[in-house]
Amino acid sequence: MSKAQLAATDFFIGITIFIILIVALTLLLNKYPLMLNQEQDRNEMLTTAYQISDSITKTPGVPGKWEDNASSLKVIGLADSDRTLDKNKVINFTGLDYNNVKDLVNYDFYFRILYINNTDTIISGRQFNGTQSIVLRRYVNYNDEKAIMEITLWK
Amino acid sequence: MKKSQVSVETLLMIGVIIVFFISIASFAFYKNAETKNTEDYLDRKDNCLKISGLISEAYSNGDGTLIISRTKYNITVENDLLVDDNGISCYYYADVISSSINDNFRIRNLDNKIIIENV
Repeated sequence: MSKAQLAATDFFIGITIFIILIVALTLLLNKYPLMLNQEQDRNEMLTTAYQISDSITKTPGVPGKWEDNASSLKVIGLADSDRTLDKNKVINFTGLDYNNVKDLVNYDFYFRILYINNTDTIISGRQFNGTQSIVLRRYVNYNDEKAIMEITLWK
Repeated sequence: MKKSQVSVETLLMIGVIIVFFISIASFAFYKNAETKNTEDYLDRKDNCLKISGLISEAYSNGDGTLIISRTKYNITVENDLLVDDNGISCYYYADVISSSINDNFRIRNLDNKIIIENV
């Protein structure tokens, strides 16, 4: 075997190892955009959950007296005053069609009001059955008692 | 073999190295373009979510709230969506009177109706 042939064999072994490393690195690099997208989706969902929970607990909704004609609801709001929920609005909200509410919140959702001892009092929506979810809890007054409003957004 | 001649193996090695470096350079170029697109997307999404957050804040703080801010991109307010000039969108949750904004703008809550306009 000539010297040139030996050098070529070394070279091809070296280049094969290098290609394997490059392929591994490429596969790893391609995972990052996917992870970034997932993180972005999650952040957007969290922002939405925060905005919806704010709207639910601090505003009466749009129109202000939507409970008189529940199908007229344009923006969800269940508050009588800041963080005090209106029982009439809550009951009307739980009676709304799931898909109509889903169109307003833009995600699948599960809504609960729990008393402080963790007993459910009001439940609406569908339980998580997807790939991503955000659960957000806010302390509220409901029915003259301290309670927790919990909203889960999922997809 | 004459002194001025090189072996076939050497030529092959040079060929492989050239092909290899061209592939790596084009891959790096592609990745760079992809990163710039992602950066632009995230910046636009961030801008959109910021405005959506301000709308939500103005709405939940009640009548009389005034917020002044600035947008880096032109934003069109559609039915429950904010859309920028590149088509990047995000949702908002309030009763907004539709309009378009660019640069400095203000958000007002007048009787639980949100008005967004340039200043």
